[in-house]
Amino acid sequence: MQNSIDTARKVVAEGMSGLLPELLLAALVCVLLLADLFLRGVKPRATAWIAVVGFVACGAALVQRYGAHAEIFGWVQSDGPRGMLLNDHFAWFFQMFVLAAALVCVPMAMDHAAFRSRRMGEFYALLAAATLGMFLMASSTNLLMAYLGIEFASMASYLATAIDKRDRAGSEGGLKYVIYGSVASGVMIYGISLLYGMTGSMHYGDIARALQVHAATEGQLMIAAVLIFAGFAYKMAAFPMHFWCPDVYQGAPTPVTAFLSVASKAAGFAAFVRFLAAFTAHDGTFFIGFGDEKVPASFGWPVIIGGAAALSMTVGNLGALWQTNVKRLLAYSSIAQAGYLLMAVAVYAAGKGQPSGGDLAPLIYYFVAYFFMNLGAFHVITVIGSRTGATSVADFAGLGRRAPWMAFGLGLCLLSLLGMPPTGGFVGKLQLLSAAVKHDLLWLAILAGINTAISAFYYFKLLKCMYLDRSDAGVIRSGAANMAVLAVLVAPVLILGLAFSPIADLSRGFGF
Amino acid sequence: MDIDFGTIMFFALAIVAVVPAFMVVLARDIVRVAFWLLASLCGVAGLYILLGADFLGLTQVLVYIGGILVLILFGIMMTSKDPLHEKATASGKRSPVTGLVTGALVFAVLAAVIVGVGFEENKGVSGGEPTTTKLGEVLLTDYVLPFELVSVLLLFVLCGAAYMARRRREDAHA
Repeated sequence: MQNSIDTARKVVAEGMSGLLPELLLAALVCVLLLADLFLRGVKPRATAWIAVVGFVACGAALVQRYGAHAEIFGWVQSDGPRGMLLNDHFAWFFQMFVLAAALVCVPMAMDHAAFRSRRMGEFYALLAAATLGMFLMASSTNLLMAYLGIEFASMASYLATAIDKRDRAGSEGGLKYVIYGSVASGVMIYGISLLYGMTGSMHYGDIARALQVHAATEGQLMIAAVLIFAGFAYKMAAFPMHFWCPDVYQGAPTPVTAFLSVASKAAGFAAFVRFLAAFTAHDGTFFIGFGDEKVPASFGWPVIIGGAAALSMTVGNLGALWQTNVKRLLAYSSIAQAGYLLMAVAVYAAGKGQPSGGDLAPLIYYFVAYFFMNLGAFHVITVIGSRTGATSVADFAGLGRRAPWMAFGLGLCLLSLLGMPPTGGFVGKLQLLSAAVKHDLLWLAILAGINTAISAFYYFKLLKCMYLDRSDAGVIRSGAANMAVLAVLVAPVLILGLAFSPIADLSRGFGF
Repeated sequence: MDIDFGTIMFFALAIVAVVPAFMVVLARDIVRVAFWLLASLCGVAGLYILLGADFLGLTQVLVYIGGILVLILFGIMMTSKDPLHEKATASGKRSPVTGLVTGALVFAVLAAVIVGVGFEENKGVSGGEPTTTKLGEVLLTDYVLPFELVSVLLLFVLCGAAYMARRRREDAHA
């Protein structure tokens, strides 16, 4: 008893030192919740600046953690550590990604019309809490932690979606989000309990070891894995758990939509890729034991994920064709993007079965491009929406004349989402397609090509509206701060398309 | 098959858990549904205790019966204009076939998995002794991080719920 308490004390002390960014975020949540009470007479924007300072401090702590490879909050045993969180390059990339998205969302929220006149401490606290949840998702090496991270991020997202209580669409979106979310997390925890029953552990390393010796048949594993996948797919907004996406993206305040479409998706992918790696052994081989003989089985993951990818992009792109609301259109677009990103995961799973091992670089590169192009698009929509109340595609008529730089930024982001040169989206998609072809997923690559052609229709519909349709409405003044944010988001879209090789080299360093 | 006291208790509790669960689906009045749910949840709590998970069983009683079920009843009472009148659970008639087929299919798949997997190899730790002490120890050693994180989660969800429920002056003006 005394011995175990001493060990626990040591583990906690070691873990805490590696947990500084998360602790800062947790502290930020508390500070922001209290700040509203004490800053009653001060400008409503004061809390936004506290959030910025908090996120930057967290970023500094995260930069300091770069290069770490430590599994914390666990016990080192002879065959490997049993931790809760693993701080490695992969986690670092996605944590930085989520943090940057949260930071970009702060100026967007400051500009958002419905947020301007009110005290926003709770909103920024929720943003920080969601970020903390996504941090945990990115680094969890235990199904319990992954589930807790997902719940953490989800709870904050539900509340953030419905934060504007005067807005009926937001409340409706929030409610739908909660209901779909509860179902998804219920399904997921059922799958987790099955897998726990089969392997006797929730730690990824233990699961991998248990699967190597006879633990369950492939059919039984398939049921558990698919149930768990449902929970991850919900966070990625991928088929078949995408139904919530259009209503929530449309109803939520635009800065929240932007955050969900980028950060939430990335965290979902990060958590899922980590879980996927649990189905592989430490030496990279991809075996599941059946009885005495070890059969190299790829457990159908490439097919399961590839199927989900194919359906996501098709459902997303076909759904987007008929949309007239810009946010809803981008919601379907983001379902399709989840499909392209899942294709990268399918390629990774296929690569795992081969001696060369899985390659995560295309996924990382596409995510970098996706960060800038999707946030850029939502930034323009926030700015224009706050000034003109524009929600439908037709409201963007004549934007090329009314707000030329904003229109140019949005246009470039749309071209990038479509995958046209010379943008980051083009290079990203090219890498995805070539990786898919290399790993015998030609059918998926062809389907992605067809889908790109379909998506051209609705991306160009918006572009045509901005540049060719006439409108008598006056010029829109966007403000210097918004222009600066636009430049920060849109310039990398071009840079990623033109000078891609340094970033492509960098992206190779963030795998496992 | 030898029939001992444990087996008899198991089947008795299983009936208490399953039969009211059917009634939850079949009953038309939503207040009755809530009370059938009470019986079903009690049965599940009894099963937990029978299996040696005493803490889990009592938590089930506290959280589900003491918390959630009371919340459901309050919800019915607060939202309906006439709480004593019978509340229909569903509007309009639907064919039960789709639901039955889906339910049966899901049950068959899950049952096949559960029966097929050798769960007994991974039996729990408790050999009849109380689990509360052990759980407390584990929560503050192996699982201290999730335990503490849940408290942060509860903190901000509580604040968020208060935010949602409260009526702001600026909302009232709008």
